Amino acid sequence: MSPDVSPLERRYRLLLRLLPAAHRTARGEELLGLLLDLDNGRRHPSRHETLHIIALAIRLRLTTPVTTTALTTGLTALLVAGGTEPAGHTLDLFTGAVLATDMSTVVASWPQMVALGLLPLAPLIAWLCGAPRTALTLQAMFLTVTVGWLVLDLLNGAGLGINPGEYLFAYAPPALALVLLAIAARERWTAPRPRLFWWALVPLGILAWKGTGEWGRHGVYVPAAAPTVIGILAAATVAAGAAFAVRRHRPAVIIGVGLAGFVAGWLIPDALLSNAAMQHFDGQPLPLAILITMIAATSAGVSQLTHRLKPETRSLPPDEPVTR
Amino acid sequence: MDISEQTFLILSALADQPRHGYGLVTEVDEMTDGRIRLRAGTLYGALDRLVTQGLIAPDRDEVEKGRLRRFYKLTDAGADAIRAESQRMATAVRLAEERLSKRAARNAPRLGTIG
Repeated sequence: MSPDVSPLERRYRLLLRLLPAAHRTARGEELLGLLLDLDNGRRHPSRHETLHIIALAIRLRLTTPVTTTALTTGLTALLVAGGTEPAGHTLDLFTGAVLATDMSTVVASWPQMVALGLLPLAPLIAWLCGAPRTALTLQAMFLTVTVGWLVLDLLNGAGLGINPGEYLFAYAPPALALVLLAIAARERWTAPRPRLFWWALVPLGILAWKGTGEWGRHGVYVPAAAPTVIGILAAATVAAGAAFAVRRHRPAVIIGVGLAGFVAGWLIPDALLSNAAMQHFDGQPLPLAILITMIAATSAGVSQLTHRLKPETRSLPPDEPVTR
Repeated sequence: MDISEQTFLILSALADQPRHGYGLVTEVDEMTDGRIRLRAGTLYGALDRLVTQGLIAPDRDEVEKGRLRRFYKLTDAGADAIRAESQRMATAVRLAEERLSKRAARNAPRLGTIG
């Protein structure tokens, strides 16, 4: 950078690095000119301009096609995992979770139980039907009721001895889904395609939750090597993702970031993924959401790869001679 | 098309002549007596959106004191959008004034009555 660059310009150039590279190349100098005009005579960027540039960077990064696809896939996975859980447990209640002697109580209150089991599916169905605002409203109502229920329990003393981490883990998916739905409603995102895949996951999700109930009742056996395998897979994924994110930098940076990603990926699973898989899987939608996202991302990647490898075909116009 | 007050002001500021980003900020500031101060990040987000919608278009680039200034001009679609929004606002103002007149007439003291 030339020595006659003012401290304000240097700081604004640093701040503009938050913008996506393509946008920075196309509009960076223009935006810098305006910022320097607005803050003429200052040494530091003003707080308001800084906040608005950060907001612009977040908005631009959220609206790239790749980010939008990734976020809508994650959101739909969260809604499937969270929305089908109560329905799965309700199904389990009527098909094996309750002793025959206690079944009469369950049968007597079936309308209430079926309603409570099916209502949380509403945001998912609204989202899949292409109504993000309705989905947002329903999810907000659903989250308010469940959090309100928890608060009432705590106030009544029923929450003594609870594990706060477990609750945080349980409430993270619906809260995250709410935030993503708010962004989706604002940015007019729709559910990812193919829709049939996501619709098919609704009954499959319910059956998966029914299956976890069965699994828990018959004793859970987890191979001792499972945490190590999860750790290696997660660390490799984080390392590859981090290295891919900085692929345009120098090799030393790519290797450094990749290694840092591997260490972080190794440490995180021990605290989060292994914990989820070993202790909290029963009743926690997050692992199922992660699994669905991975399946959707893999199928999308394979589809994209197949599309690229497929030889280009085109139809000939009627007057073009066909050579043999 | 629904347009926000901020978008309406940006389009109106471009109605008489092409302007660059700083020109737009100062023009909107003057038009609203300082009530609305556009920030660079907000303005560029809005300009991107308006270009995509075809309501404005880049006009020319100039370099002044080493700073790039890109001028934007209003398109015909943008002029139509301002006209439609102005008519909608004018109708709303007329309706509000009619109702205020009726209210004033109802509340006015009547001749020959006490209290």
